[in-house]
Amino acid sequence: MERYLKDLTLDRPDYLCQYVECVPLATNQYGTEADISYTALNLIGPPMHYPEHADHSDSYLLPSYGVWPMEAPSYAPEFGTAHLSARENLPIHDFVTVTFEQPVYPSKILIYETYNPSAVYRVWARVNEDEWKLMWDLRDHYSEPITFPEQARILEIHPPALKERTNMLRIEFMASSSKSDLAANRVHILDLPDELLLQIFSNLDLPTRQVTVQVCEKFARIASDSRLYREVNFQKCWMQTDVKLFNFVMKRCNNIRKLDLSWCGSCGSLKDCDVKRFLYQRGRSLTHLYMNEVTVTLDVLNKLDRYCPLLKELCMRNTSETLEVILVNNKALQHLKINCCPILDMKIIAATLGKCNHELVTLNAYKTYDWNTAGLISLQNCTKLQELDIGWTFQHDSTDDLLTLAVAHWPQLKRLCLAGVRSVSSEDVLQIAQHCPALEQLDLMGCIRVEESKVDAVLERCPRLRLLDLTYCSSIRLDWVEAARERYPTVCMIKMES
Amino acid sequence: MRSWTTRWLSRALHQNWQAVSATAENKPRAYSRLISVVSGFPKNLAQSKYKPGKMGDDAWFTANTKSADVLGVADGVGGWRSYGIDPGEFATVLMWNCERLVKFSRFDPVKPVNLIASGFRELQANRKSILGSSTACIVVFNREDSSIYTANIGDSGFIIVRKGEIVHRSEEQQHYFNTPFQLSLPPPGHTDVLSDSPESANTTTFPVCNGDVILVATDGVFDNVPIKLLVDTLQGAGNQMI
Repeated sequence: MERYLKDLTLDRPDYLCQYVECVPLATNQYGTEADISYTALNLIGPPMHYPEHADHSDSYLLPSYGVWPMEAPSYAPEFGTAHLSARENLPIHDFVTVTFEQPVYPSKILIYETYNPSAVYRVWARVNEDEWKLMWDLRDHYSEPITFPEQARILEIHPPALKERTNMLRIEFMASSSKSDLAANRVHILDLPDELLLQIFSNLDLPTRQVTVQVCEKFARIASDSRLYREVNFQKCWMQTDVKLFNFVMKRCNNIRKLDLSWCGSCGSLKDCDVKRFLYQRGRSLTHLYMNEVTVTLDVLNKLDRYCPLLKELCMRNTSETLEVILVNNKALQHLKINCCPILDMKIIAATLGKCNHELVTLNAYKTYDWNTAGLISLQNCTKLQELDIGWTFQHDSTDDLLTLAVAHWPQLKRLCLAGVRSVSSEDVLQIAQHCPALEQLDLMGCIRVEESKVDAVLERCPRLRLLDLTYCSSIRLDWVEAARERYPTVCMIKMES
Repeated sequence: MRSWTTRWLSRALHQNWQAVSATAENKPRAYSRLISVVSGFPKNLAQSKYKPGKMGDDAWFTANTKSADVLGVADGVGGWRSYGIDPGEFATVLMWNCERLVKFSRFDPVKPVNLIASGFRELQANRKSILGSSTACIVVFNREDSSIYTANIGDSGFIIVRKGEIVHRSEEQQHYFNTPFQLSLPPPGHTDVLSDSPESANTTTFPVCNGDVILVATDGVFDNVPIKLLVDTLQGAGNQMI
């Protein structure tokens, strides 16, 4: 380790080597805000493990990987992105911002990746309080598709020269590599019929539409057509989203169905009063609402059921507040993702879901607290459940056969995550094999009681299985997994242990 | 065996004190702090490999922040060995978690029980399942009021020596013979295992002065070294520092 740190020392007196001092925001981490294991807090200070390749608890770990989130029932394709080129529309869903003590002109940035490298997609630096300058883009250095060997590596970035100093970086992580195809050509457009202009304008991003209304009356009329604003995605242009743009869209989106406000709140310039006003005026027709990393007050959440009576999908990552009132009044709710929300009392949430939300298709609630068996029993009423993530719950329970009664009520289950639920028994897994023929993804990471024979039953009886995570299942040997891979080549079996 | 242990221990203490005092700065400090050394050896000294923070089944840590200095020990319960579990792993990771929590300032100097509770909670969040149990003893020196705040679960403990006398000590917690209070993570499905909560720790607080010598140790020290000899050695080492 010392050898690698020594390489950083430079003999010029005006050069400074700094480690991360603070991590203001991480959109995703393998734990709650209070945890220190695997969370973004571990980016602080010098690298501790390079060149060892392993998932150390004192390093920053991202929970999602590969194409699997896209194949889960809760996946919703992006909307409002027709105007983006392949270069612009990146599969980036997560980022982390880090700060250093001294603002500098960076000459080199090193990122130590010690587990499954190649997540980093782009790196930005903040200058002048509100501008972001691109420091590095993966695609400038590698051509897709990209695969990196499973070993620790140092991502060495030589950024372009900056005119101002910076002490904050934003590191964006890719979800998986995906391609979209859209080409733009130049055409003389003034004499085209309205329908065609509408089609063309649908390919313009929001800030550009804001400008086109100033060109002429015809453009102003077409760019204000509410059909252009049925599905609005502010996240893709969050850096340019200010109150003016927000109001521009709000005036025109009479029948908006899908809205993505992610990253425009706490990292952007929108305030909760802006969000409240938007939902009050335009929430009536909303079926999909994404508000990741947006500060939403309790006041707004309490009225959400009234503002958005048709809501089917709600994403509120990193906006922790109470939830119960939303559930009670949104009986059509299909997808609920509340991962790592430590303040929620899952006894109450599960009971409410079982009572009021029978259309529920997804419940992602890993690292939530206060679960009990009664909660799982209430969830039996959600018979349309296709995706259930209760990883790292039931930590203090040693109840036998936790799931045995419940799984029989979820015949449509496609994705089940039980990572870290140590009390999951072999019998539970057998029941899963018997009652969930549609199963596609099963995560049993750290389930130390599960035996090879029961996992075999799952492989045999779940023909659609694509992903099976058996990392840290101490009763399952690596050579058994290797043999099973031969027998079931269509299943991706993961067993990554150091 | 007893005298060999004692000689080894006192020699180690002296050597370490000398090393520390040789590197200590000469100018007086504006604030009080603990100067600490650690010494120990596992039962199977010949077979075990040195690993920082771990001495056989026992583990320790020290950490400092602007407001406090923290010492901790944990004694892994050896009975788990027969279940194929390394008793030292639980204790080591518990102490390491406490050290990291202190370093990230995720602790309240006057509430050492919360530190043990958080360290224990982080242990459960380890992706690889860590099983076993241990005692725990945490001593925090709080600079603001120049007092120590302690939390002790089990039969590890501490003594404070001043002017050749023990002025403050921990209380042992035992359920019955050779079965101390312990934090535990049993293999799932085993419901009959002793498992004490962090909140069951004994807590004390005590004002300390310059020159006080604090010993935090697992039961191996207290069981094998006569108390008078221990006190004299500690006082002697302390005198050398002043």
